[in-house]
Amino acid sequence: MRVQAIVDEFHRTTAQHWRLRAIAVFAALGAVLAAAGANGRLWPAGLVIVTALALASAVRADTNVALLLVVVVVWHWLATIDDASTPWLPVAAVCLLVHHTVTALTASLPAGGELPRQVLVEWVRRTALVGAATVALWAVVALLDGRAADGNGALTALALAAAGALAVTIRSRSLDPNR
Amino acid sequence: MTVGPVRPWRPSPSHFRAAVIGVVGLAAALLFRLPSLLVLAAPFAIVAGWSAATRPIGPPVVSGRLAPSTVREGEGTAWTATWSDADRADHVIASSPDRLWIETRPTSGVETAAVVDGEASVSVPMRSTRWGHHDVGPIAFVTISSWGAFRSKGLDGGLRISTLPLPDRFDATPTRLRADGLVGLHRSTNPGDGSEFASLRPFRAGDRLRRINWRRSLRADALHVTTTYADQDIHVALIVDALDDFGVSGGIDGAASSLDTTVRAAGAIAEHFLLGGDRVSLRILGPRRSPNVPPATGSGHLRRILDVLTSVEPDPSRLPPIRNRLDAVPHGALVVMLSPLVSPTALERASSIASHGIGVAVIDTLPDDVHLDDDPVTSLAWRIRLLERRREVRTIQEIGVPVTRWQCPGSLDPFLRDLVRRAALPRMARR
Repeated sequence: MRVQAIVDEFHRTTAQHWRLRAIAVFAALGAVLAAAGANGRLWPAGLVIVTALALASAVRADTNVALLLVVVVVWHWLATIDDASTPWLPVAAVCLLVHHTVTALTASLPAGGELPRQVLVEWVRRTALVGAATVALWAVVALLDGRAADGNGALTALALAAAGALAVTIRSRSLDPNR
Repeated sequence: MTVGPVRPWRPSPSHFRAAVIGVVGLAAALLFRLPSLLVLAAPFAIVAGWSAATRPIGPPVVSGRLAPSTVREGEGTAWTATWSDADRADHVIASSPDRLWIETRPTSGVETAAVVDGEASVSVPMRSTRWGHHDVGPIAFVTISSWGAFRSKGLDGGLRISTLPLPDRFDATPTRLRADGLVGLHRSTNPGDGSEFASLRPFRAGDRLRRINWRRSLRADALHVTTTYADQDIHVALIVDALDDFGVSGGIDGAASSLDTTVRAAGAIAEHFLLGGDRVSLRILGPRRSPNVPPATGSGHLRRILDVLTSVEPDPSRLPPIRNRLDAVPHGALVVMLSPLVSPTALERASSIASHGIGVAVIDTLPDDVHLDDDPVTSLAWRIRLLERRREVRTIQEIGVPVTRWQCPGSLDPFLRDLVRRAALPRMARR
C-alpha cells in the first residue's frame, strides 16, 4: 500500500516539481563542492551523506532533514577551512541559501502542483537580493580579515546584543500570540 | 459561502530552520570569532528576519463554493475559492482529494495562485463520470507567507456533487395504446374531446353545438357534427431492480454495469414518455427507504425521477417480499421493469403484475461479459446461473411477458406493438 502511494506520487509529480527538487539537490552538492574547491580535497563520504540528505529533503521538504543537511555542510566547512577570504565561501553560502529557498517553496506544494510564474519570479528576486547581501557581507568580512585587527570587546558585545535582539524579535513574531 | 474555520498563521519547518541556523550561527560566529560561520549563517538570519517582519497578522477570509452542484454524467463543475484580507501573503494552494468518479483538471487536483493586493482566486474544475451522489471534499487549502515561513491552513468540507444519469438515446414508434387518461398528446382509439378528426355523423341529443359542421349540415339538409378522437396520455410505470449491481462500471466513458444500464435506460424511457406528455411513475426494487415517485407529467417530474434514480444504491441484503397485490400499479398502465434478472425477485414481480392483466415488459440490463472472470470457479458459477436465468426468462415469456435486451432506440417497439395487438383482443384477468 505504501509502495503504491509512492508510485502514485511519482507519477503525479509535475515537471516543475522535479526541476525544483533537482535544484535543491544540486545546490546542496554545490555547497560541498565549494568546500572541496576551497581546501582542494574532495570529501567522498560527505558527498554521499549530503546527497542522501539532499534527496530526502527534496522529496520530504516539509521536514527538518534540510536543517540537518545545512548543519553537516557548515560543520564540514568550519572543520576543514580556516580561510574566510576564499571566494568559495560566498559560493557555499549562496548554495545553502538556494537549497533552503527551494525546499521552503516546495514544502507546501503537493507533488501534482505547479506554481505560477509570478510566484517563481518573486522568489528568484528575493533570493537574488539575499544572495547579493551575502556576497557583500563576505566582501566586508574578507576585507576586515585581511587587516588582522585586534578584537574589540565593546563591538563584540554590541553585535551579540544585536543577535540577541534579532532572536527575540524572530521568536516573538513567530509564535502565535493566542497560544 | 465563507469557508471556515481557517486556522491561524503557524510557522513552518522552513522558518524554524532559517531562525535556528541564522540566530545560532550568528551568535556562535561572534562568540568564537568564526567569520566563515558569519557568512554562512548570514543569509539564514536575513531570511528569518525578513519572514518575521512580513508575517501576516490575521487569518485570511476564504470563500469557496461548488457550482453547479447538480450535473449530468460527464458534465463539469468547479470548486472556486477567493481569498481576501490576505495582506502579506505570498501565494495560495488548493488541493482536491482523489475521489471515485470525479475527474479533476489538472489530474492532481492541485491549483495555485499568487496573492495580489491581499486577494487571490483559484478554481478546481471537476467532471463527474458516473451518476450518483459523490463527495468531492474536503478540499484542503493553504495560504503561504513570504519565504514559506508561515502558513494558514483550512478545509472546505461537506462538498457533494449530485450527478443525474445521462439517459441513453431512446425512441419508440408512435403507438395507439388504450389509456385511462383523457389528456395528453396521443390520439386515442376512442372518440371523444380532442383535436384529431375522426368522422362526420348525424347530430344526436347531447352533442355540443360547437361541434356542428354547418357546411355538411347544409348539404345533407340535416344537422351533422364533427367527431374527434380523444387526446390521451399513457401511464408508464417504471420498476427499477436495484437489488444488485453486476459487471464493472467504467463511468460515462467506459463499460456499463447492470445498474448503470438500468438507471440510464429508466431515465431514457421516462424522458421519452414525459416529453410526449405522458405520465410516468417510478418504483425502486431493493434499497431501503428508497422513495417511489407517483405518476405525473412534465419536465419537472422528469427531474424528480432523475433525482430518485441518482440516489439508487444496490442493496442485495434486502429482498422485498413478493406480494400478490398490484403495488399501486393501476389498471391500464404500461409497466416497464428494468432488471439484470439475476435475482428471481424481479421476474416473480413481473409475473405477479402480468397475472392481473396489466401490460408489462421486462428489459434485460445484464452486461454481456458478466460471466468472464479470472477465477474459474466464479466463471463456472456464473455460467450455471446464466443457464438457470435463461430457463426463468423462457418461463415468463411463455406466460406472455416479453423480455427484451436494452438496445437503446426501439428497445420497446416489439413490446408496444404486441401490446396494441393484444389490446384489441378479448382478455381474461384474474380477480
